[in-house]
Amino acid sequence: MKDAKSKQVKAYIKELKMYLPVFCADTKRYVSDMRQALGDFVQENENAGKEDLVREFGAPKDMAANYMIEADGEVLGKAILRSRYLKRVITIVALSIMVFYGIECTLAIISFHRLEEAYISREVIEIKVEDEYQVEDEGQIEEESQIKE
Amino acid sequence: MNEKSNFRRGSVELLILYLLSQKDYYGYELSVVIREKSNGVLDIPVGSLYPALYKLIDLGYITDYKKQIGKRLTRVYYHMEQEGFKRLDILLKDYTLTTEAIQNVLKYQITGEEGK
Repeated sequence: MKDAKSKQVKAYIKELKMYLPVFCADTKRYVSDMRQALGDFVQENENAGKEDLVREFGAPKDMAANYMIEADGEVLGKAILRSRYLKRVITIVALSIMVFYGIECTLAIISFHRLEEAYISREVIEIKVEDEYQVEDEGQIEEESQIKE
Repeated sequence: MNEKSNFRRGSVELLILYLLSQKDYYGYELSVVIREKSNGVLDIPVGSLYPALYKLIDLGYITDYKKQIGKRLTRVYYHMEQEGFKRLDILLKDYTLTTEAIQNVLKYQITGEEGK
């Protein structure tokens, strides 16, 4: 029963987090306090279900909207700007990494193909050299045997 | 407080400070007490109450502390500070003046001569 209640609280908080546009220190404190308030309600009302939570506290999206209306505009504005800046930086870094590895992979594929061709040509040369040596060796053996004779 | 404070926001601040001048409360308890004592007329959602509490903390009117309840539960209680009492005095005077002024305006009725 307790697990089911804590699951309801967790699900509510998860949904609330989804509707909050930023997750800064203030929103973190808000979410923590909301978790506590929900926990208090659940503890005081034994048979409380998800509908009771919504009736008492409002839907998670309304809860997030309430926070946005009441929260300090300056703090929230800074957090939103910081979040946007971070997203841009992360996007640029991710793109740079992708481009870098893309180039790396392309170069690696090109050099692999070159190496593949080089290996084959060397193999051919080695076979030829072996044949020549064999011929030379055979010639030498024949010459030596003629000298001996 | 915020420059954009409106009547409801002002009331929330007054109600919180008044209740905390009586004793320390935790967030959800404050919301429940306001609703019960106003016979359900003032239903301030907890979602709105917490940002108001944070502002009061930032302004130094109240402080918060954690209290262990039972083995696993920890609650954040809010406590009124000296600056909070001063602020409450100002808000109460302002509230009394404003409600009196509003009542006076609402009592006013245009007499026959003034209507012309």
